[in-house]
Amino acid sequence: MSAERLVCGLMMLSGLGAWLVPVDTGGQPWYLGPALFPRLVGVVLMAGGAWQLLGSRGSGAGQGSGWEGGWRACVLVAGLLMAPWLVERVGLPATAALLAVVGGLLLGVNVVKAGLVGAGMGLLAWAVFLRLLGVGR
Amino acid sequence: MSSFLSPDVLVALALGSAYGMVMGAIPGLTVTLALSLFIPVGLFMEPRLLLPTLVGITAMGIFASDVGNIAVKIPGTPASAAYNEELYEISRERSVPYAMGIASIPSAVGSLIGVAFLIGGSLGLARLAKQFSSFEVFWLVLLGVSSGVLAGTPFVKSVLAFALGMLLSSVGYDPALGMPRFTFGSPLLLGGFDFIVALVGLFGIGEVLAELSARREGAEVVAQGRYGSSAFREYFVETLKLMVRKRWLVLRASLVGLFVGFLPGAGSDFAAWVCSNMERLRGGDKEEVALAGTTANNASIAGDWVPALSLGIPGDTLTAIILGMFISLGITPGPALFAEHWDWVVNLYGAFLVASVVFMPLGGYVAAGAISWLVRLPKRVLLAGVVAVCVLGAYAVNNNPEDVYVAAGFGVLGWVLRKGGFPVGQVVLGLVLGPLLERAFLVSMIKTHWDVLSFFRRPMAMGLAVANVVLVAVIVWYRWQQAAQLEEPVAGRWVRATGEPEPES
Repeated sequence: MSAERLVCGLMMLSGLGAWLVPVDTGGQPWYLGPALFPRLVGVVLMAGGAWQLLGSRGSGAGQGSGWEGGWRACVLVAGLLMAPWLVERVGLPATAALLAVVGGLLLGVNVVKAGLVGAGMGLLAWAVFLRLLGVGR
Repeated sequence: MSSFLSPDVLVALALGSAYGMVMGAIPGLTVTLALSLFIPVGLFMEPRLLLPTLVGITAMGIFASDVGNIAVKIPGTPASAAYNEELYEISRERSVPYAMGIASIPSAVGSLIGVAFLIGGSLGLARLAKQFSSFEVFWLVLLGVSSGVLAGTPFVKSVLAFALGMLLSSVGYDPALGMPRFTFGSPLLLGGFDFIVALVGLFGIGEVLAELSARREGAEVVAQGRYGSSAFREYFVETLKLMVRKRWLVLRASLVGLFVGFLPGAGSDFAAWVCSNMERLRGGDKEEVALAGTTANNASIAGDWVPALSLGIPGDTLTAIILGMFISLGITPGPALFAEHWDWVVNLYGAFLVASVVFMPLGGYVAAGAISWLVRLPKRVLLAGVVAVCVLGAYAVNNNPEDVYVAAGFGVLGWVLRKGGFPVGQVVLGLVLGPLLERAFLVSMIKTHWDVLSFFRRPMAMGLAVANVVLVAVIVWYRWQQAAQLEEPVAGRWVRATGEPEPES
């Protein structure tokens, strides 16, 4: 599936979601309260998504339609999702260093350079974010 | 009366500027965070030293948000996202000092023009700002929406990306009635998505994911920006030449930035987006788009201070924090401030002038050197560092580890949008303008019991409504002309290339 079609589908789904997900309107009709704007935007997303999907040639107009290296991106996203869990266990500097190393290795940087970037980032996290700003204490 | 040129005031201004510059330059750290962290120190300072320090932090912090734009393509604020692509490409295609020059010197000029108006007409401008109710704000924001959406290319993708940004901005408490929407019972979503976390995800993580998915074994690494043979010439001389050539653009962007800045609730983000989009619509090149955005960005900072000083009405979060500090120190903003503490007001204006003329160009030059060194690293090494900076930045905004999930989500969104050829910047525009538009609309409707005609009853609102219609008509006409011009040369090229009439289909 081309990326363009995928995004069009996601846009249409988001638009549909704006209508299907219930919103507490405080007893008012939906068009007189907080549900009005999201639903108007939902219509734009559904109509625009359908228009673009029908006009799409399936070639993928962005940065390539292929997903060849997609697994690397998925590994990095998994790493990012683990970050809060890691921060609790090993602290912010070690988490930042670890993610820089993983990111570097996935990007094709050799182990030594990835380690150096990780050390640099760990140091930055410790000195600026942890000690100076108190982030992650 | 103390002078703003006395050594202790200058030292306070220099320290504030350096602190603001560092905080603004690191992706994820913001001027708001810098000011919040400064509060405990500021409360123990003398007002004559506190005011220049605050000016240094705000002026330099806002301008320094472009450093991330140039170094790693991560905008520090929603305002610098307005010209993110253009500034980054200038740095890679020409040189880092030239791009940094465009980021800093027009900012300084915009700031100076803003200060001139701040000195000349604080009270008059503030009175005009008072005329703006939710009706006028609605039409004004709609102007920004129209120019932003219609300026985007390709058109349908631009509208879709903007609408998605607006939908994402509706997560959390609604801006008029405070009802929670689309939170799915999660306390994390009650406050909505933080702009900075979204920026870190969309631009930082999104860029890394795009690079990862596009990379094949042994693929060539994209060439990095160069420092240029003469950094000084590129930074100062070439930028000044550009500004002289585009002097009317600089003046126009400064005035628009100042005007938008002094309207409560609008701020520098709106100003930068409006001016950059207007240049895109005019068919301006990368330099013109970036020039308009950077100039308006800083002119609006001076504009922000107008209602804050003369009426005690904060224009945005920054001025709200500053006003809070003023009140804690016994300084009451308003007309009385000008009568009772004129020396403090003069100090403030002077600090703005010195920050704009001296510290901003100097800070930009130092930053250009640092970025030039940084971008000599291979792109993959730089992106590995970006992964860590994104995690740190997303975490630091609210000191909340769960914001990393939000940043990762926006990262995936940015990646998929890039792959599909959708403009990522339009999502940010939707996130910025969506709540402003919705709040102005709903507040107006609640005030008038859903009388839609009330949007046309006030003279200034009517004027802005007409301006909206004229703007949309001009943009549609202009785009139609552009399309017609694009078709003609193609037909000509066909005839020149083949020597035959163009086929019917």
